[in-house]
Amino acid sequence: MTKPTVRIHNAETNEIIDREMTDAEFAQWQSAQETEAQRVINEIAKAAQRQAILDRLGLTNDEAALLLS
Amino acid sequence: MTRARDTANIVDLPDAKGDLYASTAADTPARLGVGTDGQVLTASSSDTTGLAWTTISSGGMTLLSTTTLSGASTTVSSISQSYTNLTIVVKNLVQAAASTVYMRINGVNAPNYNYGWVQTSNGTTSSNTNNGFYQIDQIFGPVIGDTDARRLGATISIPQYTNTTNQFIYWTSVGGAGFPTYQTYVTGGAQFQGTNVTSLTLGSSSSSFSSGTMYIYGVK
Repeated sequence: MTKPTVRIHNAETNEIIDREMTDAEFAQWQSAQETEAQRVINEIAKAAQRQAILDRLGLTNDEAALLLS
Repeated sequence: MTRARDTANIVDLPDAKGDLYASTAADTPARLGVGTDGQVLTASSSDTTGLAWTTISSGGMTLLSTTTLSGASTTVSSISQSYTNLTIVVKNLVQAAASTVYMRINGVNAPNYNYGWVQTSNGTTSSNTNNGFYQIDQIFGPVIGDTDARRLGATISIPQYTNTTNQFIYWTSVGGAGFPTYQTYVTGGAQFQGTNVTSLTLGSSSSSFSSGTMYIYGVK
């Protein structure tokens, strides 16, 4: 798999270098990808749970926000 | 009708690039040479022409770098240490896929960052604090920014960035869910346990930048 690139811009010389990620950077980035995928899954599940509770209570989002404010 | 004296003044008075017409008294034109780069013209009654080129001592903003965001992260290095504060403006940031955007200082990838943020998105407000993190993850909140309509923008301030101890970072951002549907607004602050700021990195945690520009200004 081709590694993603990173950009480094030297503000003093205006030199711009685009290079592939190092192995360490790539490992971290891949780990973040897994975390991100899990976060999206969790958010979707949480939103569904929240909506289910609101439906059960017969409340709108605004009413729920008012109760918790 | 143009008088000979006027013509002589118009043509002969300027001697060099940037020269201005000024006057030392009524009907008395005088040459005012240009100042040095970055100076501004100010009223100065003690000078013969009543004008003077002066260097801004505070409040002026100087654009230090303009960087097109690219790859999985973009770093601006060798940031000048000649200013008091840094202001960073990020515009039109778009990612290839859903991902949070992080910021690191001096390339430090260690648990040196404490930060907190408040976010409002589509009528829902949330907040959090994260201590001992490896980067500031929530410049834009946990937002998407993966299509052209979901462009992200932010202003980030780092006052007294040349201090050699702790750095304090403040930001506000907007974007995320698509215009005109709704947007996500984030405001936050962070403390970075580290030295003076010489480089800044914006990174796409798990994707890459499709577009976007980072401007860094030095503020006197």
